Amino acid sequence: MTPKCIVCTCEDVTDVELREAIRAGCTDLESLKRYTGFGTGPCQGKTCVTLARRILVEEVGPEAGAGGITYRAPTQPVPLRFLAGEDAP
Amino acid sequence: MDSARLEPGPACSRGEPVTFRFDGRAVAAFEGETLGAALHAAGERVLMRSIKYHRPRGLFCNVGKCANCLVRVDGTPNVRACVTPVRDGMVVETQNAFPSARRDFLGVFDRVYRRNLDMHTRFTRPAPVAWVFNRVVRRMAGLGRIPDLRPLRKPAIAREEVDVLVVGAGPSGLAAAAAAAEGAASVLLVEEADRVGATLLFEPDGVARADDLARRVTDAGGRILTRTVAFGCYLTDGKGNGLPAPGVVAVMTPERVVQVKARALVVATGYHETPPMLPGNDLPGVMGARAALVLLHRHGVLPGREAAFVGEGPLAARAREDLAKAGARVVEGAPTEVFGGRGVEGVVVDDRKASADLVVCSGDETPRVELLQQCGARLAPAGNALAPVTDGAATSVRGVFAAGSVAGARGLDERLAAGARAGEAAAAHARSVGK
Repeated sequence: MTPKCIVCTCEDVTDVELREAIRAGCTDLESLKRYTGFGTGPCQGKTCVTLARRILVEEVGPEAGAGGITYRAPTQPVPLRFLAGEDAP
Repeated sequence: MDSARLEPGPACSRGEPVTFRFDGRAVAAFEGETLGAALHAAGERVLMRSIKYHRPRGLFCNVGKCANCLVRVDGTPNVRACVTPVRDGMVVETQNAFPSARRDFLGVFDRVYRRNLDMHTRFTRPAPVAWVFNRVVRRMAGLGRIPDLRPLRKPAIAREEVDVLVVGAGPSGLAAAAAAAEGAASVLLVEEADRVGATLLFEPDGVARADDLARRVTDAGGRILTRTVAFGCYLTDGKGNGLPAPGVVAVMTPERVVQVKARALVVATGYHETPPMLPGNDLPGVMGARAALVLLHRHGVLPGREAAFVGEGPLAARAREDLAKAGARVVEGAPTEVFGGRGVEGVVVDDRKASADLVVCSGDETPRVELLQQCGARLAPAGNALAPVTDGAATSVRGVFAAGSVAGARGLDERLAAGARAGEAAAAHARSVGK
């Protein structure tokens, strides 16, 4: 395999991509996520957000690491049939 | 390669032999193993291909958190192999690869786009090229094929009220649940693994200690649900009315979803493991320290024969020691690159190549703060991650407590003590807002 450093394994986002996006102006975690798509795959950012923040702090400075991404429910995959079930009275 | 299986230790639940099929090949396994463990023992390290470059992927977190082991099981796509128990006759197929994950022609994308594929600019001009490319990409995109059609049972959503809900049955969660139950509160402890203990099970007397703590919970009237995950904290009642934190915590058992209304919530969810920041960091064979220890202790499967280590996280020393004890050769030095084809073949240490089939990483743990954030608890940077701002066990939200490594506790004793404090505080809070 080519020697890529993959930050977000779900969406195949590399460290090079993140650094280029930061230089292009995505200097906070949320913008960086929306531009590169890191953290938007099936793991929902559990595996990559810390590496992305590390790169952001390296490129921009410690103040850039204060923000986070929003973890919406469900945080784990839930079969739709479980949610389609009759609600208890 | 059945020699990857070791004598089962006390935390290992190896049952009767079973057989399942993986892309048509018969794989021998044992009841009590996960698909991930059985495939690893059989030398099958490539479990899927990645979405864009079709790079090979295999077990990384081994606790159902990352998405590097998604397979199709009996017609259901995107099943995490690492947390799916094996059953005799299971049909497991790799997905997102042509013709299979072992040999995937679409892996050519990884070679063509050596550096990276920038989807914002590539093939966007001229318009006809963009038109064709969009059609091709739409056919290739997505994760797996839709499930085989079959009648679905839709279990009713259940509701439950408790004084204290504890999420996570690692050392701090177990200690919290025991303390809360003994503080005369009604307690529900949920754990997503198939048994309680989590990282406590890696300790020499860990199984007995975990079971003792669990017994204290149940003896005091508390209940424990395993294979149950808390997947969201909802601060509304579904009719648009706000609820005070912790609101409704939605948990999923193997059978149904349960809406749990708790007077106090203890979040003892621990951390997620993060890959090392090195070239080749996604190759099958690169895994978290906890992931390697789960293979070793819960399944009696040797994660690798030549192990390199990156980082000094909470379980780095334990992984190094236990892997060496189990017969793996430790590759000395700090790797700066991982290389290999369909799995780790070696690492670069001090500009020299060294043979390795396993890279154990730690040090960039991500506190598992999803539920805390959804409750509205304040988070602040801790290292490269965010962690809850706490005063003792209390978070910034009344009735919501954090304990253990999610709140920065290190070492077993510290985590047990933090858990006990959180359990007492949660029980006291539940009493103060009680009926």
